[in-house]
Amino acid sequence: MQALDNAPVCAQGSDMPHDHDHDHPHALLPSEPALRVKALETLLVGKGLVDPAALDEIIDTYENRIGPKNGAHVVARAWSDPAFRAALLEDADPVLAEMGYFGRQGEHMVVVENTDAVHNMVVCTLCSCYPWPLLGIPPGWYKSDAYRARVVREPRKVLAEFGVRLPDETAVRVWDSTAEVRYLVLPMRPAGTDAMDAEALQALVTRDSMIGCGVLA
Amino acid sequence: MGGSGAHAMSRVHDVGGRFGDGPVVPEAEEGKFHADWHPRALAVTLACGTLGLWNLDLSRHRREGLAPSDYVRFTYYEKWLAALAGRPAGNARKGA
Repeated sequence: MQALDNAPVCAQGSDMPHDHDHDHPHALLPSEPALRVKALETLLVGKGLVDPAALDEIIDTYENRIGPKNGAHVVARAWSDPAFRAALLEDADPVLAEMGYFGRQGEHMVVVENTDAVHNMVVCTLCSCYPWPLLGIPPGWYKSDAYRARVVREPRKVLAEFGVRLPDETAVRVWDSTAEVRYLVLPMRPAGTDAMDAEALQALVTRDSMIGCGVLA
Repeated sequence: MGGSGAHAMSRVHDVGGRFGDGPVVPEAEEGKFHADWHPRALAVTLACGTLGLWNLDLSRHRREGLAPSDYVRFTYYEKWLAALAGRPAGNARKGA
């Protein structure tokens, strides 16, 4: 939602004590976040509400199994298979479900295609909504104030910060995600890749290109 | 933009178009978490979802209802924890 995970907006980092009063009920939980999460975890496990193995499973899923490779798989297939591409752009959910990409934070997907005429970018100005089944959890910058505030006002300047410069005649369209609808950008296929198979193509696709903050060369 | 009628004021989380923020800092695809406790915060929050005690709408409501003073100083997963623990809005800093 807000600050970069590792860079709080205020000077007060996660390794420094907070100075707010602790006279409300949640004073039962420590304010230092590492201790706070430990306390919550201990409480939930102690009450038998949460299985510690389930927590490890969730962490393993988002650290190792779900990430931009999924989205790259979809993009490479769209580049290689015109019928698939058309179906994906028409109504992404059934197509993605067939590939096994569905579920938490990706229930309603819209895929938007970059062309020479239009470059698409994705943001969640209100928090950090992001297509988890296809891209994993969002990078710090996607959750940052700076990106959320600025990309809807000055997208070309933000693109420049990613080293991307678009031709002036290319329009920029910015999609603001909601809790329900999540977007994936279908980047343009790089020139000179006609001979590549889907697997080789997949390796070319970056996370940032699928958010619209990168282009592929 | 949520409000209706005369409620044109934005809330603290509604930052789209705001002026004054610095540059966006790109980052590598590796390194999904920036502190050891972040994946734990994620897991505890998601696990509560499977209990049926917690869902996306409630989490959004709680995070967006944080006191503005907390919203701006909390890091991302601190907001998650504050929301999950149910800190009531406007109760964070007396007299601040």
